[in-house]
Amino acid sequence: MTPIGTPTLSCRPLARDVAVLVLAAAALALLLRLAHPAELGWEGAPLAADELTFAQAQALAKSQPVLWVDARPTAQFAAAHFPGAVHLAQENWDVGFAVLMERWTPDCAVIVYCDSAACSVSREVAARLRERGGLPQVHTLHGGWESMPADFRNASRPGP
Amino acid sequence: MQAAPAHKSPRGWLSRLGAAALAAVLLAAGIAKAADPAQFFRDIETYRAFPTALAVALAYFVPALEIIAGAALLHPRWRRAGALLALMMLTMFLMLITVSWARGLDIACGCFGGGEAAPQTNYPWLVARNLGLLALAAAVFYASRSAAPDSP
Repeated sequence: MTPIGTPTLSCRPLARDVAVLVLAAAALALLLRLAHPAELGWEGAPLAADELTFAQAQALAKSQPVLWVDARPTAQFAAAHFPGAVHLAQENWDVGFAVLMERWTPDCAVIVYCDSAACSVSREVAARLRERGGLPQVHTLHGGWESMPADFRNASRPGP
Repeated sequence: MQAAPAHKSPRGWLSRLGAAALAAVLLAAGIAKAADPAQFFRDIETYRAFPTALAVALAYFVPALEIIAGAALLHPRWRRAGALLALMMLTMFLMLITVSWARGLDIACGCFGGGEAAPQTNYPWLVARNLGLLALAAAVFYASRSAAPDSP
């Protein structure tokens, strides 16, 4: 029996145990992948239910009124934004929401965009518009501002 | 005179309590992410740190690792390894959060599946929470060291 006070350090069995756990996790990950074949493939996640590409948004605008919402920081909005977009970020929520509701009609589709595919604030603003604002048709732009054609973005800058 | 068995000592009780608490956090986080890997993938994308294929792999592997580590913490035989795995994961998460903070990114933490994102990332809270969990994992690892049976 090990005397009291002797440390029972055993690195190799510990490393082996950790390796076993990591292998078990890899097996579980494989099972999860098999369980979710359509939702997330190697090319990335498909569009979420409320997401639109820029081309889809333009197509939508041909069939119904569309209100664009820019959820980026104020400085980025001021530099350039989608023509006619309402600036609605967390920093100016009350003012921006009031402006949005002045222009919103029940047949409007609202499309919220932020900077790029790597930002999440458009999803948060869209969720808030649905839950607290009660707006029935709110989408987010997949890929954000960066997904809009370059010449379109350049033409959207305010003139001198 | 023999000392009380390790698992009945105050340290043993604390070790099991701490392990149970850490296991609960890891299992909750892992299961929430595993339920919606597409959303977790989108959250990973906000860190702008990984190419797409790696982000997809992580979207499946990270929840699996959390579930396995959480389950391991609940069993005396695997507790020490589970605590070490938790320590390693939490250290990686902390590094990722800190780098994102330094880069000025607005991240969706994704820590508990989709929907946890803050309007503007509350980095101090994320770092503090992570440090707290790290401290807990370290305490469980240290405490389980004395209770670990001699391994062959």
